[in-house]
Amino acid sequence: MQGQVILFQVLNGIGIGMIYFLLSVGLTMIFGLMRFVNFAHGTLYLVGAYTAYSVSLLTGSIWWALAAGPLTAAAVALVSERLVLRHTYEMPHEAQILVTFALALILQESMILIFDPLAKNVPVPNFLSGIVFIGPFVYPAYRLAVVVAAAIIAVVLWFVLERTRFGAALRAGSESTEMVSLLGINVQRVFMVAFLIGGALAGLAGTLSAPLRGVEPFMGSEALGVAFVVVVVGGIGSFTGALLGGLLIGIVQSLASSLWPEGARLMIYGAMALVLLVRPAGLMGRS
Amino acid sequence: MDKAGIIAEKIGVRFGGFRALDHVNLEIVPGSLHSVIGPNGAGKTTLFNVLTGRQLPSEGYVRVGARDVTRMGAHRRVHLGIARSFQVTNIFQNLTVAENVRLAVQAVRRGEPWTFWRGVSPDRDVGDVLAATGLQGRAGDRAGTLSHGAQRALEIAMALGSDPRFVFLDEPLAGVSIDDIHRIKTLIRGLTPRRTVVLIEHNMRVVLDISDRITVLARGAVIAEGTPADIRTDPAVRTAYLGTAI
Amino acid sequence: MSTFSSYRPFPDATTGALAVVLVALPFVLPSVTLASELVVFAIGALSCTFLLGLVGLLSFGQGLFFGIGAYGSARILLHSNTGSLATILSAAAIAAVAAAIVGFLSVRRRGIYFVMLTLAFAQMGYFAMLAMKNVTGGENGLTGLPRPPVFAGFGALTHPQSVYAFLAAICFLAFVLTQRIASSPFGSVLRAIRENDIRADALGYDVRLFKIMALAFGGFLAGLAGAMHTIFLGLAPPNTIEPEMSERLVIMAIIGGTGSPIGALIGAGFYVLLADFLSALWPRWLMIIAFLMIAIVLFLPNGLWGSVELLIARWRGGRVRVASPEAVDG
Repeated sequence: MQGQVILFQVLNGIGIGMIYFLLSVGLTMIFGLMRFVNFAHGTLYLVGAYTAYSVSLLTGSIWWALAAGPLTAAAVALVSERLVLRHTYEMPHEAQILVTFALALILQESMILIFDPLAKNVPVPNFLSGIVFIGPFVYPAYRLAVVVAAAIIAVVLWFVLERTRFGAALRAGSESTEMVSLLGINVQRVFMVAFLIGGALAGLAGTLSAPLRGVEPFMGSEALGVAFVVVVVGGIGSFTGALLGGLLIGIVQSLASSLWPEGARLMIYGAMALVLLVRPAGLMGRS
Repeated sequence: MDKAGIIAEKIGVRFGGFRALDHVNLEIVPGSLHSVIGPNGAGKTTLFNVLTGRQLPSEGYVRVGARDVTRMGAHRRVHLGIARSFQVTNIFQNLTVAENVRLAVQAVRRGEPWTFWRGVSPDRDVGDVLAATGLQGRAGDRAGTLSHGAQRALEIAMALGSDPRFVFLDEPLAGVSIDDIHRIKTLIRGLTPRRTVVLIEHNMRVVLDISDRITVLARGAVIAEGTPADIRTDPAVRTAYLGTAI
Repeated sequence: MSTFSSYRPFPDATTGALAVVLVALPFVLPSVTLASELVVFAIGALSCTFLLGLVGLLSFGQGLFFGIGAYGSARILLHSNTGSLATILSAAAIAAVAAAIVGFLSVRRRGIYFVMLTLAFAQMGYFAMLAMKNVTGGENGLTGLPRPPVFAGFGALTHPQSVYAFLAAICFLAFVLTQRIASSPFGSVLRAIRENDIRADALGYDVRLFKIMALAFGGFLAGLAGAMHTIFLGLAPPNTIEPEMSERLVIMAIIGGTGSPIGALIGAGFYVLLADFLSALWPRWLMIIAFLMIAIVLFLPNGLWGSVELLIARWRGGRVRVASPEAVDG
């Protein structure tokens, strides 16, 4: 009996973890590539979630929501880069952080302006609202779908990173931006594409999690905190780190929620503190 | 004064697959001026970093007298009497010249760095160090406004601020104008025998002129060691610097 | 220039000006309670200003220690007969210890990574508060707190005016302590760490330990403000430990300018007054603050007070001389 409960929670945690992976992979790769941290990254997740809400309200179709969420988030990322962020690349880190933080605040308040401060519900799409039998367990169909979708995306991302020129440039750029630009690769372009993809993935994470958690304005800042935890645990600039870190954190949260429900979210930060103490570079990080 | 020297044995440093230092032995005699020379990329600064505590070696150990300091961090080594200057000027650009030196002096005054209930007390040693390095006229100026040569002198001044037994100077003459070279060379030579000087330099004339002992590094290994006279005629040194074409 | 940017002798003109401002505040502002709120947040903002201005550490986690001060003092008030002053100081001390622990974990990393960690710990504090609801009251916070006299049996705090006088006195002392630290050998080391922490390490300073101590003092100030907040309100609501509190303190510090402690007062004043004035008109006034922050970071990096100081210096004419301890003490 105990073992089955644990196994179920682990499966649950994988579902949560895959969303955390999608949320964090963009942030960690950009950080590794450009030493740039977008404190507005969490609001891209928020934008994805609110888009899911309004699209599902308007059309009732999950497919439109799935397309609109990431696209809207990428659009927001693009506009903020063009208008604001590109002025901060030459500035000291603190300035970059403060500007992106202010941007996050503006986006958050905009969401409240457009919608309202109250939490919103997003219904699970009809064809996924049932349950699936995995061995002796019942598992919600939607959660399973999220896991499958995220896994497919992870594989595609891995393929892009390992087997394409763009991916090679991205990986090399994480090690040395100078080297990469000396080789004639347009680092700016690589960064822009990576930034937009990362933003789109964060938006997708928001879209996918909307039916599970509802949508409310402070999700953005909470999502940023979670993304930071995943980056710390997984290591900066590492795709596998984001994957392992996300899964680990998701599983920790899930297991904790059956043992100590109020402390579940606290435990993920506890895990982060532990990693900081024992392995400061993160699971996959280089010292 | 303590007659301990510094001994480094079998020092190896690996960065991933790359061997920056391989089986390097070094013995620094107290009161001497010991130079480390070699072509670019030979591992000289890496060796300095190991000796001063900025880099942990993958193999080997460093001893000051009888004391093993291999794993001791840089800031603690200062209190053992080891100080260094940097190859790329690394001063406090926005603070005054006097404050730069005062910070160096303050670091080794017991308890002073933790005093928070009163103001900063003037310290006579600051003036002495400024005078010794010729910077007394620029004491109140922002360090960033100094000429390159003056900034290199400030680098040395900061290394001297802690009254060190061992002074590690990393290319102190880099980019220094001809007029200043003689002055700085005399300053460095004058530090011994009261202190021990370990010097990285590319200016061969100065090295051969003032060193008591020279170690030659190439591609991470020691290829020659001896007095200036030995090194001047060593064929291996010639090859390392000039290639086999000559 | 100003106390954090470079060394200034202590005390100086700003100390006197601060005393004058604190005395005048309740007469200048529409209400005494608004003045009390201002001085509480001035100390909170000061914790950010001190860390960023003097040590170069941007902390998005001071709200955690504000909250610990708020909840800590509330628990002390509920379970003992301690006077208000001792309550506030004890809670601030607890916050300082917590800050040292968090600091110990965070200083293992530098730069952006460090800032990330402070934000993560701020979130952690919020979830800890929710998780320990039997101690913190969860979503309801702790309410119905007494407001004991300053010392046991002396200095009753029954009127808003006496509350303000008490809080303003603490505020003044906290500012003076901060200025004293900035103009001390310890402060000079922190400044050096901000300028070039690698060189500071090479000179023989244990940079990590100094950063931890600075973070502990920052936590002390934030905890002090949180405890003052509890005395002021008579309750400890959850917003004292929410991540938004950390954000609010950073905003105040940046708007005011981190070159000098006075920036914290200016920033807190600006924020509190704007909130009081605008929030009734437009609930989304925070957006205006956010735009202002971007403008300040991009165009007025010294903040409001720093820009005023620059103007004063230019008006006085001549070059702005950089002060140093050596030159001043002769």
